[in-house]
Formats: sequence, structure tokens, C-alpha cells
Amino acid sequence: MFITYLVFGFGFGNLAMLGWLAAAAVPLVVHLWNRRRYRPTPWAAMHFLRSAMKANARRLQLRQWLLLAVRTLMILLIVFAMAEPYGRGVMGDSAPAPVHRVFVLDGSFSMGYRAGVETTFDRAKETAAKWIAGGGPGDSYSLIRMSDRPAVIARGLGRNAPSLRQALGAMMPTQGSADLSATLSLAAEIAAADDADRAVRRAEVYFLTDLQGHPWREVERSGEVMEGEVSTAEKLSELAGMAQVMALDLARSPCGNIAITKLSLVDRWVAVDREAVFEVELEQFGGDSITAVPVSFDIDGVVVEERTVDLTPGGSASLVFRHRFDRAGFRAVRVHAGEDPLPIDNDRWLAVRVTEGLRVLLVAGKPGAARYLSGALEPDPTQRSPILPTVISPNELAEADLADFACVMFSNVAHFSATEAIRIRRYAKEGGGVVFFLGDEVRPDSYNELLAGENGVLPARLGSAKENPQGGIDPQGYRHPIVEPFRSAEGAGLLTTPIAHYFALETDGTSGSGEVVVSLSSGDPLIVANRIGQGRVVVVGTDVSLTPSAAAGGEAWSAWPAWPSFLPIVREIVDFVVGDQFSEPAIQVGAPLQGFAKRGTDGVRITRPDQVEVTLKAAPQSSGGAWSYDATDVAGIYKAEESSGTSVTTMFAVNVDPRESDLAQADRAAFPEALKVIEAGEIQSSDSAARLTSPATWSSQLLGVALVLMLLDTLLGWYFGRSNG
Amino acid sequence: MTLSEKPSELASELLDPRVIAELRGLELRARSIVEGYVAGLHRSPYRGFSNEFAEHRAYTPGDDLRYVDWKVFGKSDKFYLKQFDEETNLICYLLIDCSESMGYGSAGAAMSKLDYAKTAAAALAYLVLHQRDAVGLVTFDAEIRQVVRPSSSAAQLTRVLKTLEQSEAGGKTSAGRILHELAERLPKRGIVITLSDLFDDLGSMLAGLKHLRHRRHDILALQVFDPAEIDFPFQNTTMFQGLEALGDIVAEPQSLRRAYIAEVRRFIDQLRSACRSRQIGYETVRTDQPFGQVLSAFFAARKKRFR
Repeated sequence: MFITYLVFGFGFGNLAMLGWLAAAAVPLVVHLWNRRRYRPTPWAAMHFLRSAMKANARRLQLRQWLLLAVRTLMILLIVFAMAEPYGRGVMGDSAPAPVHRVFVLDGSFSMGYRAGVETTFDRAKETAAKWIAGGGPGDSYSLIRMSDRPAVIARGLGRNAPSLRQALGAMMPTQGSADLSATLSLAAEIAAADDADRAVRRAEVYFLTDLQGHPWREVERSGEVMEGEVSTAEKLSELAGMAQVMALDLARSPCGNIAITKLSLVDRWVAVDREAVFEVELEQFGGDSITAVPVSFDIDGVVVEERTVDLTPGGSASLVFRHRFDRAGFRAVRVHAGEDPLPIDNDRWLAVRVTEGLRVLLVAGKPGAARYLSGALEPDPTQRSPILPTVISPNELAEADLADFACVMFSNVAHFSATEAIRIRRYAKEGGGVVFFLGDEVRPDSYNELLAGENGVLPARLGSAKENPQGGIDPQGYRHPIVEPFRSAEGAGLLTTPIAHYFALETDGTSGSGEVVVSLSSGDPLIVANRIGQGRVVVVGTDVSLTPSAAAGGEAWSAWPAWPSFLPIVREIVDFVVGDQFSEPAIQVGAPLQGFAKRGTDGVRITRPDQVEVTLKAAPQSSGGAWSYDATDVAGIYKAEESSGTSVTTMFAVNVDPRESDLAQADRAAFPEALKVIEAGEIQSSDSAARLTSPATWSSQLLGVALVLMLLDTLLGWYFGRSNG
Repeated sequence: MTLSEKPSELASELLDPRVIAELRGLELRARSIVEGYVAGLHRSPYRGFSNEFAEHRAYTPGDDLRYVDWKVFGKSDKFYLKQFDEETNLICYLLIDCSESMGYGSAGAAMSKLDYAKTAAAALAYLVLHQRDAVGLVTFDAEIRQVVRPSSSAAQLTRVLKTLEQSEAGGKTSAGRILHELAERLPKRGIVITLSDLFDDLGSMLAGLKHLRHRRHDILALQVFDPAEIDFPFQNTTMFQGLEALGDIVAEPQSLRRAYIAEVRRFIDQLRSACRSRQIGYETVRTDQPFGQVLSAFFAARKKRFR
């Protein structure tokens, strides 16, 4: 239909109706049919009849053709009117070219703000529906949901398309935030989709949004631009080059919102009967001061503690909850604040893996090599300890299931086989903690060959063994978490730790990428740490067994186990390498859940917070058995169960983006001129709707002419009948 | 029938073609028409034009009371009329068109034009013979078919009626030529009554009539029409199948009605005007009209002749 507009200057909004043009032949067919359906009768007065026909032949023929023309034209006009023509030409230029309107509905969770019975998103849908209904017949419409994963909901549909109404009606706000940059790219793609259409169409992009600051500040002129990337403002400018861009402010003001912006575990891991400390932070964005806001803390759906806090606009409140878990396993922790018009951010979840005790595997390279390490982890075996060390020899390593341990420490192990190296690497990638303590038995070549390099686990290559005559340790400013607790704690003796011999750890770009935790006074790194996959690896360049070394002249490489800093440094190393194994990182809505399936498992069943179950197929074990689930569109606790013989359940906490909780709008004065903002009050007026509505098509004029022809047909019929006598 | 009955109602019923069409036999039809006509007049048409008494006859409703013989009534208490011998030499020639076009009768008509003409002719013959005049009959189409020589004998009615009953529609019309021929063949002058639709060439017909008039005949041309030929009442598309091999025409009657009726009227007007100028009596007769009109036309012509 747009081809006709292009060529002839007109088009039709409802092209299918033109099929009824065939009906224009009906008067002629009826006329011919009537002539064929005559009634025979004998007749005597033929010469009178012939004379009458001869005298009136031309007049009668003219009458017939006139009536036929009127009736045919009448049908043609009605059909054309129903086809909703538009365009330029004899009817004037009032009817514009068709418009492709792209309605971008802000689907971020701030649009769920409810004022009365209606949310901001409801208003967006109503506005879109009203403007679609009031659009021109030749216009087409696309729907985009702006969210952290913007999606095209409908594309290029006519205003009367049932699928358009259904798609709009089914749209719901997400629990995620909004990626404005990606949304602009998608809108530009839609607006520029059809080059043929663009020749005759205007494209208009309408953002139906609350102009919440988190995404919209990106388009402010003062917004920062990442070097090498196309800024959001530039994308907006690009879109404005191909379409008129408007943002319709649908926000209710003033908006107040309470949100829980933080729920975290102070400790890295939690053991049964060990006190776990949780930090909670509440914020109030806008609105009025509120007193005695109830805050509940629950474990696995059971409220274990309730408190109240007072909040002021723009203020925050911090709470600490303590809890001792009585059993091991994954536990779902939830904090809930009182109700408000935007309830989605009044909850925050945390998945905590509670362990019976932190199991640490100690591999002693020679007898006694792990004695002091074991003692540091479990000082009194007769008492219940949160850390449970297990000491084995290198020969027993092949039979040990590393997955049973949160951490594996190798102490003065001479060398590794290739199989062992692969197992260690896989263990680390899946989240395990690995610590290498070196010593006189260590063969650097074996370490470097099998454990260092791009595919290795060592954070540094091993250099040659060296003496450290000067002693002393440089804490590197206590920047690393392992030594950060030693800051302002000189009594722990970290700086005076006696290190006599050590392996030089090479951390330059060619040999390793680890971070130096501490170094010796000579400048050589003593402890280097690194992350690999989901796990962490630490290498300590000296021996911690106090065993005399022949190569060192019969003295021990270090007296560290006897030094006050030994126990805390070992504990901190364990805490660091254990990492997030027992407290899954908070995942925002829309971010993927990832894990590794155990051997023998071919699938993972995900149970969502809405109790919907999804089964995933894990990657082959040869490629690590990794799995990923990215449909985290609902905040809450997700459970992942492996379909192996021994079911393993993992919990993930998915939370909303707290940045979306601040309903303060972006500074529209700082918006580029390409983005025109229409105020909420203006949207309500009929003027605004009329601005989007295309002028009337020719339909009404055509129907008017058809009506005149209908009257003319009646009059002609009456006149001809009267003149026929 | 008694005097207490309303003669006018009965008379109009007996003159109605729909009623007459129900009667079998031309004689019965003729007698019914004549008696119905007489009853409607309230005076007898059998009134003579001579003063010489001839005989009495029984009174019939409509007879002129001036001719009741009150002396007889005083003696017998019965009404008798005095009959007078009429010195008359009236000869009435009935010319009946039996062409195919005369066989036309529309769907709503009680009888065809020929049936109507035959019935009217029978009534006229009955009437003329009861007035002791002579009546003759000629049937024709393109040719003269049958001729019954004029006579006033008692058996003449039977001959005339039998000839009429044997006449069927068929053949083309050639009225003009026939009239010329008859003008030469009719031996004595008299009243010539033509019963025809006169669907022929106007000039030829007028020439024939003029020829008859030239032979000093009094002429009464009765042009017989079916009602449909006057009113043209057809609604839907119709194929008009021409009689007398005039071909077919498919037409929408509604659009032609006005023009057709105008054509018919123009023809009638031309014929009437021409007849008037030639002192020829002319009447149009519709087959749905009472037969009394025909008889009235006859009496008008007869009166004119003896004026």
C-alpha cells in the first residue's frame, strides 16, 4: 500500500477491504441478469412497441447507463471509504504520510510504583493504547519493553491488529532495571528496519517512562562517556536522526520509597553454631519522614527477629542481625521492610551456605610438613573447631575427593603429575581454594611446567631458591585482604616474621598475573594471590614446617610457625581462598546464575522464586560441566538441583538493583535537544493526544459522496419511474 | 325475473365480459347480452319506426310504457305492447377480423379479442334480427374466409352464430385490402360494422373504409383492444413474442410504458380523426368493457342512418 502512496500519492489503511471492489460489478451483473431473466409473452401490438422503443432507445439507454454509473460509483466509494485511504492529492494534503510509532514502555521496576489502584506502568499502557487507537489508519506500531534486557514486544503492526492489542495488554513491568543504551540501539534498529517504508513513513519513538534517574542520567549532557564506547547520548542523537524522539513523563510526584539496599554477611563463611553477622542497610528516597518502620529478618521463611527503624527522606539506617545456624546446608535469608507504594525493593535475599566445619585438606610433602598448618587451623583437637583439617601425603592425593574440601593446602610438595595438575586446576575453577607453601623439596621446574602459565593455577612462576639475610616483611600497604587485618596490629609480628630462605616468585606479565600480598624487604614477593575461575589460589614462597633443610645448611627455611603472625596469617589465607563458597554473591535481577555440574550429572533443575521449575542441560564434563541460567527476572531465592544420584542443591539470591529504588528523576534540563519531554499534565489533555493522532482520512468525504449518490439514485429512480408512467 | 328485481344490477352483470365468458354458446351469450342491455336501458330497443300496427307482444322490463295496450290490460290484466310494422330495409354487415393478433388475450382478460368480437357480433346479429332487419357476416384475415349473405330470416341467426363459432384466429391482417374488396362485393348499402384490432397500415385501412363509405355504407369501426394493449401493465423484463410473425423484442416495460401508451394514443387519435373527417363511426372497445358499449355504438349508428 505504501508503493501506491509513493507512486500515486495515496495509500490505504485497510488494504484488504479493496477486495470488495469486485462488488462494484454487482449492478452491471444484476442488470445483465435481469435482461437474461425475462418472461415471455405473446404480443399483438408489436408496431406500437417498436415505435416506442425506437423513439426512446437513446433516452432509455442513457437512463440505464446513468443508473448503472451511479450505483457502481456508490459501491466503489463505499469500498474505498472502508479501505481508509490517505495521502496527498485531490482531497488535499491534510492526510499525512503514515507514521511508524515505536512505543518504548519503561519496564524497570520503578514503573511498578502504585498510586491508588494504578501503577505507573498501567498508565504507560493506557497511554499507548489510547494513542494507538487514535492513530491514523496507515500508521504502524511497534512496542519495546525497556529493561535490563530490552525486548521487542510487537513490530510494525496496524492499529487494529489483534496481536498488537494482545501484546500491549500482556506487557508487565520487570523487576529489573533499565538499560537505556541497549534500548536506544533497539529502537534505532526498529525505526530503521524497513528502508522501503522509511521512504514514505515518519518514525516516532515515544518513551513512556517515569524518567527515573538511574537510566536517564546517562543521556544528560554532563554524563560521563567511556572512552572507546558509544555513549548513550550519542545513541540518542543517532536515533533522533531517523525519528522524532519524545519522552512522556508518567511519574506521580512527589514519590517516596523505602528500599533495603544492602544485606550482606560479615564473615566469608558460616559454620554451625558459629555466630553469623548480617549487615542490613535501609534507605528512604524522597517522601516524608517515617517512624517505626518494621523490619523483619527471617531464615528459610521463618521470622527470627523483628525491629523498627526511623527513616527520614534521603536518609538511611543500618542494622545488624546476628544468628547461629543450628544445621548445615544452604539457608535462605530474607530481610523485609514495611509496605510502601513500590514494594518490590522492600525485600532483599541472601543465600548462605552453612557448613558443619570448614574442611581443609593438607598435603604434606614430607612427614611433618603440615604439622603446624594443621595446628594453626585446629589448635585444640579436643574442642569443636569451625575448621577441620585433614592431612594426607602426596601419594594419597590421587584418591582424595577435592570437592569435599573448601580448601587444599600443599606444604613442601616436591612435584605434581599432569593429572594432579588438571584436578587442581579444575577444583580451583569451580570455586575451591588452593594454597601452596613451598620448601626445600619443591622442584620449581615441575611447578612451572605443570602449574604455571596461562592454563595453570599458580599466581607466579617459581624462580630460584634464595636466602633472605635481612629478614623483615613489607605488607604492601596492607592493601590485600589477607594482610588487611594486620594493619595497626604490629603486635602480631607480621613485619618481623623471620624468613631465612624462599623461592623467588616471579609475577611479571610473562610468568604470572597474581597480586603480591606481602614481599620481603629485598622486594621479592613472599605471598602472591590470584583468582582462577570461581576459586582463589595463594602461593607462599617459603616453608612453614620448621624442618631443617640440608640445602639450607641444616637450618629451617623459616621460623614462621613459631611466630605470632603465623596463626592469623594462615587463618586469613584460608578465609581468602575459601572466598564466596559459602555465601553466594548477590545477583541482580537479569544477571545469569552459573555453576558447574558434578561429574555424572547431565542436567540441573532450577526452581525459581515463583516455584516454576526449569531443567537445564549442563555442558559436557570435558568442557567443565558448566551451566548457566539467565532468566532471573524475579527477585528471590533460586534453587539449583543437580540430577545426579546424590542430589546437590545450591541456592542463589537474586535481588533488585537498588539504584532503581531512587525515584528521583533525571535532570531533564540537561537532556539533549533531541529528546523532547512531555510533562505528565500535558499528556492528560486532549491536545496532546490530538498531536499524535493523524488527521482524518478521506473516508468520511467518500462516504459523504456515496450518501449523495444514494440520494441521487433514489431521486433518479423516482423520476424515471414517474416519467415512465 | 320479476319486476321487483333490480334490472340495472342484473343488466350490468349480463353485460360484463367476465360473466359472459362463463356462458357456453354464442346464442346464449348473445341473448344474455341483448336482454341485459335492454334491461339496462329501461326502454325497449325494439321500438319500431312505423305507425302500422302489426301484433302484440308481452311486456319486458324496459319497454316504453307508451306502447302498453291498456285495453288488453283492462281485459286480461296482463301487459302487452302494441307492435308496429316497420318499413325497413336495414342491412347490417358484420366484418370480423380473425387474424392471429385478434387471438391475443392477456393473463387477466376474460376473453381474447376475437372471442370478444365474436360475442359482440353474435349479440348484434341477435339484436338486428329481432328488429326484423337483415344481418350478414364476413370473417377475414389476410383473405376473406367466410361470408354469410345478409338475411332477416329466422334461420339467419343460426347461420351467423355457426359461422362465428367456426372462426379461429390465424393468419396476418390485411384489413385495408379486405375493406376494398368488400366495398366492391357488398351488394346493398347498409351499416357496416367492423370488429377488428385494426393493427394494420393506417393509410391502407383508411382507404378501405373510405371506399366503403364511398359505396354509401354507414360504417362503424370498432377497434378491439385487450386491456394490456392499452395499459401496458408489465413490470419485469419481458420478451414480447410478436404475433403474425413480427419477431420478438426483449424490453423493460416500466421504462417503455409511457412511450408505448403515447404511441397507442397517437394511433387512436389519428384513426379517430380520420374517421370523423370521413363520417365514419369509430369506437375503441376494451375486452374488459361491458358489451353494452358495442350495442350502444350500434344504436347510435342505426339512429344516424334513419335520421
